[in-house]
Amino acid sequence: MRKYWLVIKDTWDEILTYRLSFIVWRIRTVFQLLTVYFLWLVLIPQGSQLFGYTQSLMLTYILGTAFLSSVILATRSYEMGENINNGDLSIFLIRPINYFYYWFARDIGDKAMNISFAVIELSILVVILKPPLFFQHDMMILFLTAISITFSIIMHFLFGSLLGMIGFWSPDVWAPRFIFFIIINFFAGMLFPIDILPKAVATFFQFTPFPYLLYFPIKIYLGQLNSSHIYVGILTTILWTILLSVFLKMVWLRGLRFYTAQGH
Amino acid sequence: MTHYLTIYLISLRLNFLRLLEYRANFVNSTISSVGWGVFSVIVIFLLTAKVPHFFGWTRNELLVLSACVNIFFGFFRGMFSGNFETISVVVKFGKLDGYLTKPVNSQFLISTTYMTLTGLFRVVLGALFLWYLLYIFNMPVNIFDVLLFMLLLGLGIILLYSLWFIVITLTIWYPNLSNIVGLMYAFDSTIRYPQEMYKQLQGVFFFIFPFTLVIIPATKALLHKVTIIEVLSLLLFSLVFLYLSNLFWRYALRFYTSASS
Repeated sequence: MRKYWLVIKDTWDEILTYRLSFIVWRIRTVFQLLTVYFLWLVLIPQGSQLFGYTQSLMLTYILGTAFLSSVILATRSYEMGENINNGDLSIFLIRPINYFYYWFARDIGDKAMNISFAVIELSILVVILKPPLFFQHDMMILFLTAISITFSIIMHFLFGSLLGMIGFWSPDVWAPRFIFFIIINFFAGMLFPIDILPKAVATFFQFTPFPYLLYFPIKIYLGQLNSSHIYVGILTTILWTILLSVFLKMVWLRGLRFYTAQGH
Repeated sequence: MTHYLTIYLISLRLNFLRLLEYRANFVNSTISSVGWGVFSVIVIFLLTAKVPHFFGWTRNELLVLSACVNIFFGFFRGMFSGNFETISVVVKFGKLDGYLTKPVNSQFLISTTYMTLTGLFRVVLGALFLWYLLYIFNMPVNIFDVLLFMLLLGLGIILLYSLWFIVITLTIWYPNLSNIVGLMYAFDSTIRYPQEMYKQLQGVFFFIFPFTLVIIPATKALLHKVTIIEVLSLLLFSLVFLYLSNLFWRYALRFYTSASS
């Protein structure tokens, strides 16, 4: 375990080495948040409702997904593709370290830094903008939200790893990652809650894993789901996590058969 | 001028050959470019499903705006974004020498070397969608409207290019600042929405005002709503920022140190 702790620490230190680059990244994140925040602030004036959301609920949703993006979507697993492409995978194959645990540890380091900054940024924004936020007090709901978030983190890591596996077959991992980013934006609930979509479309997407990345944890927090929906949703998340793990293992083993590296 | 046109056409040809050589990249790039365009239109459909007016714009007008945004971004991303993404790499690894030692304006050369020609698919689809919208919404346009639209679109491209170039020039001092490109993509997203959305947020509006000029006047030209103030503002901003981008670039080059010098 100590070796993975060192990986987490190294990732943290690596980010601090390129501080300005990280700060620019955070400015970008805050700016994107503000664009969506002001869009909904103007769309839903105080005292009115749109798509079943009051201003308070919608702004809580938007700020909540912004925070959860730092927790769930912050990742280093995209570097796997380049790692495989340039042959550096060979070094990992001969070392006594699990390749996926290594990248998960890097993810944790990256998330820790992003969460630290997200807490500071959101606190400043709340003080300046004074949004009418909804705060959940039910401990059981908070506990279930935490469970959902945990599995969402693992699920997103598995998605990132699967995208990285493309590196075994193609030098271009950027475009599939970008397509996945578009999917996350729209179908994970990053830009808007999934339930504002037409009912048939929203129901269809409940059968995909994407809403369980961001939309589902936030809906639990907002107290908008009853117990049965929550438990079914968490079970669905666990099921998708298992399916993705199995699929990742299959792709990994197949990819290793194709893997060649020059000069290693 | 002929010299620069010849160089540009050679660059276009080389990028076209590169596109054909890496076919998987071609497919991936086309899907992501078109996909992004389609989703941006879907967002407008969703947001306007229950709200007939949105910042003073009707649903039809917002859809026309989304089509214009797709034409704009298809061209801009195709022609320029690839170059902006490589500038930081070029500066960091000291390869800028190769651009500076050529008998061509370095800003021109570094801005036109790489092109993602799949962006043109988005331009074509955006144009077809725009034509379709204007037809079904019964918004007649004549040749002068189209010419004005193209002129204002061109000025918008010059303005956004200049804003991007000024910011990317900072990588001369900070070569590791590669994700400044990501920051500019975030600023770009403000041009999808009407200026009126930002006017309610005055401090923010002042800061992003040039971005709000990029596509709105061109769209309003098709909707017969553009004012002379908007046209002159866009003309002024695009020429001033183009000049500033060149001035800033030449100033920044004094601080450039390469791997070989």
